[in-house]
Amino acid sequence: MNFAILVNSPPFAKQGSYSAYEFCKAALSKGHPVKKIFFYQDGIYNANSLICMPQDEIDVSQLWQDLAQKHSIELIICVAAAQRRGVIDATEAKNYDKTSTNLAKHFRVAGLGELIEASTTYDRFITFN
Amino acid sequence: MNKKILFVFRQPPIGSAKAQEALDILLMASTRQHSISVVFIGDGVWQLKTQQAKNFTAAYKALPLYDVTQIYVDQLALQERCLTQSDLTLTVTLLDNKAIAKLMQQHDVIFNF
Repeated sequence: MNFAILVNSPPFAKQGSYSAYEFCKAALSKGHPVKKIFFYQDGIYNANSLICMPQDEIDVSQLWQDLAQKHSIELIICVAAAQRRGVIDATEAKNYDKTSTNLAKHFRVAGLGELIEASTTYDRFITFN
Repeated sequence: MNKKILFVFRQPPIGSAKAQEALDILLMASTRQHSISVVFIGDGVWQLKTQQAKNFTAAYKALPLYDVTQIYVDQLALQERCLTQSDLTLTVTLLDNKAIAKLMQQHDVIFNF
């Protein structure tokens, strides 16, 4: 069974993102492909490359990047929600005349249309708030 | 492929941006070839309250223009908040808990905000 996931929760201050990560790991270990993971609302902060977690705490943003690399999963953030929260890639930085970028590795920026598309394409679509 | 998508709105329009960003997804979905329904439950019913100062809530009135006409409201949630149909910006269908559960079963995809 194929999964698409929506994460609306930030990496540190709330539980949702880590729960989503554990869910994805469990699904993958049972042989269920997780195709696309979308980050929206405060879930955008998972893609912030400037997060500096203390060594003895879980770095959920890093966990997502490792998972994406290991299983070739697409990590996607919504462009409008990301702009509002200051998570931008090189293209956005140029468009908005910003001096730096902070989109973490393995994440890419897309529109909401791709989220709607994914939600109706795969066997299951699950939201973590 | 044409799918039945249900949006479940649970959050009030003030206090966080959740309602505003959820509405953005609904409006985007309405531009695709899918059948869209929306149900307002719990504090989500405040999103439809008339006379609000939030700019984005004007968009709810326009839902029928986006071909979103299947609009449902949690009847009990309205009662608990001393609201009636006449307090809402849209004409809606009131549902009890059982009917809301059935509504969820009838859809292919659920967006839960």
